[in-house]
Amino acid sequence: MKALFYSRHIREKILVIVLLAMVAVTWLGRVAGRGRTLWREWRATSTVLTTQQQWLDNRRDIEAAAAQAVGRLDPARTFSSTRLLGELSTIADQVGVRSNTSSEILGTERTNEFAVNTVQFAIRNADLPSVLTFYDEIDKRTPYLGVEQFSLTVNPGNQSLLNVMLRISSVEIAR
Amino acid sequence: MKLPAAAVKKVVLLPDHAFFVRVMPLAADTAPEAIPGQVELALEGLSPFPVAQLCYGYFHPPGAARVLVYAAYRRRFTVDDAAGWADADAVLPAFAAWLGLAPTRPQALLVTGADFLTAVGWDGRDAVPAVVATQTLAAGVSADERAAARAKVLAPLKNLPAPVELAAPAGTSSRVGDAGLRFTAGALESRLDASQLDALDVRDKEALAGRRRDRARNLYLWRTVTGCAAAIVLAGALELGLKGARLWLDSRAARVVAQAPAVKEIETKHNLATHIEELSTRRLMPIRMLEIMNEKRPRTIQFLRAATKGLYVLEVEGQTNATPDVFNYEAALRELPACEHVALGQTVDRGGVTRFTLTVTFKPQALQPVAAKS
Repeated sequence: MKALFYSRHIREKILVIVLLAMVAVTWLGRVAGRGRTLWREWRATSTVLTTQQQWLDNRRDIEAAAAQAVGRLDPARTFSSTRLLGELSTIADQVGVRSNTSSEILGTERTNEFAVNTVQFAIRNADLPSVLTFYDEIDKRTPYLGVEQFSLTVNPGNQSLLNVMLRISSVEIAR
Repeated sequence: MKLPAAAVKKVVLLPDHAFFVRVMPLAADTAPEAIPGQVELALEGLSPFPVAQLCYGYFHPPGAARVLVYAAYRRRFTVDDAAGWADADAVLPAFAAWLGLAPTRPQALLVTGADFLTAVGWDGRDAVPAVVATQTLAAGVSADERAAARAKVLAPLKNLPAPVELAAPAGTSSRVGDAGLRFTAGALESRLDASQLDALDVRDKEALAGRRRDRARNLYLWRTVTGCAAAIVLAGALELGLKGARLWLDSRAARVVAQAPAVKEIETKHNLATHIEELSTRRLMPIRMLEIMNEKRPRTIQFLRAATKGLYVLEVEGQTNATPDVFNYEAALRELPACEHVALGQTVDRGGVTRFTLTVTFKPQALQPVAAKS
């Protein structure tokens, strides 16, 4: 091969070198690019796998903690999202603000054994005692119901009236 | 595969009797690069012709205290002879092919050519022959004349071991390394490297320098080619490695996908369990927060809006017509043991009414449910 190369004219030698160099640089460049991509993917996958493994390693503890948390609750007193809305409407009715309310189901996070339902509930133009009574009624249903977010605004037209926005979640245990 | 012509080293071996040969001592401190100059000086003294009209060469292995010099009048060779030298890899006197033997002890050779007999003798001091003697043999020489010539040529070797008799080598040889040559006869092997061949070659020295430059350039280009080829091989190997790595990575990705539902289930379970736990133990207590803030509220300040930001933070928007009360209120809240942090946000004064925002972070223990506190 070397002798063959030596026997060629200088222009042919240089042409061969240029062609080989172009092939080498192009190929190595592409391989390097793909290598970098692969390396990034490998790191990302490694991170995900490590995180997954941590979750899997802690599976028993988490399930035990979940069972313990759920075990303290009476399944009969838990609320599905529909039942939660019904319960909130009942409380509003008792407090006397039923006509000023609106509600919306925000979502449900569910496992095979239990679920947490979240709704948004708004009361408009209610006086402070009604709001406090409504809040107390929800508080009585803890830990089956819980307030996650609370916003209170004074009515600009009548400062003795309040607008309240609540995000309420409920626990639901599959029976 | 048949190699191209350049693969076969072509060596032109000139008849020994065309050359006169001398062995000259060198000063102990002679630098290798000074030897060609000394050889030319010596030839000017020895030869009746100018150096430019001589075909000459020399042999000086590293460290030797002597140098073997040989030269021939250029016109002893015809134009046709010289034309055949152009594409030769080396042009040497026939005996020079055996200088690469470099014996470490006394040795003698009797080389028989087509029309000459040459005796080469090493005295063992160094690799430079002490004696090189040649006799011409005319065509159709008789046995007696040949014997006489043999006796005459061997006479200077009388103090050396019996000579090894061999035929002058053919005009080709094996390649050694990049530009070296190897001549063999029976068990004898003479190796001459590129730098030795440069010195031994009798052609025009400038042309030889040009050939050396070509050789160096060829070597450089060849190394570039091998470097590029190595890079291509490396790229191929990396390509294969990447393919293997991709398969491995795909299997890991498949593992991630396979585990994802189970992990999601555990994660959701954990989140919900935490959520349920928080519903019992870490409840949001906005009314209690408002009560705490209300304790120090000046009568001039009215709350317009209150919103929780997480479990322990309440953001309150208020207004007053007594601006200093805002700062007094902020200071009073800071002193409350239930408050961990108080931040006065945007404060706008318009038409004598100051509107402000206060963000209060409560200490968790101050917001414990009654049952949890007990």
